Parts: sequence; structure tokens; C-alpha cells
Amino acid sequence: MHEFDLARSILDIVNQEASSRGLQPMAVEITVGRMSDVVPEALSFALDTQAAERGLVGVTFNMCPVPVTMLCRRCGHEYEVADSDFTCSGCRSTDVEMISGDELEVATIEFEDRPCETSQETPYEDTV
Amino acid sequence: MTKVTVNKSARQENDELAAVIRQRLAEHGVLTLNLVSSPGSGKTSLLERTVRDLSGELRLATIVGDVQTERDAERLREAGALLVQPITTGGLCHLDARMVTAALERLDPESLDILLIENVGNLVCPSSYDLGEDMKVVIISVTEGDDKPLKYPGMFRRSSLMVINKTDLLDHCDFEMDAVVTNARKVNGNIESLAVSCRSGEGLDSWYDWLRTQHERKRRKEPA
Repeated sequence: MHEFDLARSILDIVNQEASSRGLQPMAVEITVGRMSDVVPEALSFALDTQAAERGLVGVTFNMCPVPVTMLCRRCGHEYEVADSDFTCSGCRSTDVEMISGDELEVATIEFEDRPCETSQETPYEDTV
Repeated sequence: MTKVTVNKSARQENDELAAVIRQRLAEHGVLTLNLVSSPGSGKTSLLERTVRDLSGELRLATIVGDVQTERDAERLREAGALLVQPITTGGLCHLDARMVTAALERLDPESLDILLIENVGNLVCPSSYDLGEDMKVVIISVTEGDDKPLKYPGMFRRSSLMVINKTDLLDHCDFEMDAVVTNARKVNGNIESLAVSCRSGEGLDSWYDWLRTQHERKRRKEPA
């Protein structure tokens, strides 16, 4: 259920970007790492159900899953992890670092080329 | 249509608050641990024993997250924690940096050595919320199965220490000590592990030594 909380943060970011440009957002791309502990379907649902009350009507949210990519510090091998074994698939070292796969980001926003009709202020009060 | 690259993290607000907490506690050399586990692994029992056994030696405070009730906080008060700050999340599945910031308003970091934050029992959601801790400590009990690290890799990957609790029940469970350590290390090659029984007291000395060592490092501002 933390997807609802994260959806709120994402909608806040979209609203901030929109109001600073005075443009109407149309589509948002969200990168969801496989290790981000977020279920894309649940996040998508949370965004769709909260978007209108945050003043974002008609905006499409697209989830872009990101696989877990690791780099071995010992042999330099770069590899993807599909299960829970993060050891280097080349040399079996455990001295490895994650390059990508735990992100949860607003990657891109597409704006309509005409100014937003409503006020540039974010159209809600943050009550939390 | 104009496409703009934003690349902003949805966790940015939480992470910024966590950074403020971390800095404030670091200024006073307070070792801060975020204790995570599934429900029933013995987080509160471990804290209870720790507070009872170390209170004469180290100044311990706790922040205790519970979905409902303040039962855990009550147990820790009775054990003699210097300060117990309960957070009732009202159904939320994790603690976040905003809640910890509010709880810290009532704690004086100058009067502390170690701050123990007991997260909500859940091996998924709490793992990606930075609370400003120095380290996450994951607690697993032998009744849970030795494949837990593989099933919840995010939590074990982000934890620095795995405390294996309820070792007094080992004979009654199909739990292999070697297997859990191997599985944890597949997920996180740097994770340390300790085996304890809060009930019998077995192994608790090694947990206390680990706490003393980490606190000393923190006080001297050495990297963990």
C-alpha cells in the first residue's frame, strides 16, 4: 500500500514541473526498478485514482520497468539479475554494486504546446 | 507536444528529510539503527533485552513504530529505555523520515549514545524508506524459514547485519543456519550475521559487542 504514498509524491513532482512551465502535462514516464519494492500495476492504479484530485485530468502515466544491473568490482563484469542471486555471474564474487534497478523516478513529462488554462498554482492544499 | 527529461526521484522528499536527521544525529555521535523484520520475529524482545542489559552502560532511546496500539512502546518503557517515542502509523505499512523527524522533536540527541528505531513488521515497504539511520539491522527468526533472504532480497540487500533470533527453537524447525547465511550473502555479500535467542540469552553478548563496536566507531566518526 505504500504505492499510494509514492503516487502522491509523483503527482507533486508533475504538478511542480507543470506549474513552473505553465504548460499542461499529457503523459508521464515513470521508471520503476525491479528492486524498488514497487509493483508497477499497483502504482499505476494509485496514480490513476489520485490524479484527478491533484488537478491532473487526462494525464497518462506509463510505467517503464528497469531490470537490476550489477557491476562486479573484482572482474568488471556487468550483468543483469533476474532472481535473488546478486553474485557476479562471471567470477562468483560477492563484491558487487548495483548500477540500476532500485530507482523510482519521474523520467520524462510530455507537455501540450499550449499554456495551461488554469492558474499556475498547484490546485490543492497539502494537508499532510 | 514537448517532451522534457525530469529524472526526479519519488523518494526525494523523504531522502532530504532523512539526510537532515542523519546529520543532526551524527553531530552528537549517536549511533542510529533501523530495525526491520517480518511481524513476530522478535524485534521488540531484542530491544527489551538490549535496553535491560545495556542501560547501565549506554544511553539508549527507542522510536517504536506500530500499526495500532502502543504495546511495544509500553514493554520498552518497562524495560527502562531512556526515552520511548511511539509512532502509531494507523495502518501505514512502514515508517518514513517525516514520522521520525516528528518523533525526534522530543528527543535530545546530546543525551544519547544509541537510537534504536523499531520499524513496522514488514519485509517489503520499510526497506526503501531511508529514516536517516546509519544502518539497517534485519531480524529473522528460525521459525520463518532459511530462504527469507531470497524471498525478500530488497530488505536483506539494504541491511548491514542479520540477527537470527529464536535459536532456542532450532531443534524444532527445519531451519539450516548455514543455508540462511549463504542465502543472505547471495543477496548481499557484505552482510554480517549473528545468532541469538532473546529467550535463553544465548548469543546476546555478540550482539552487544557489535553494538559497542559500532557505537565507538560512530563516536570517533569512523566509517562503519
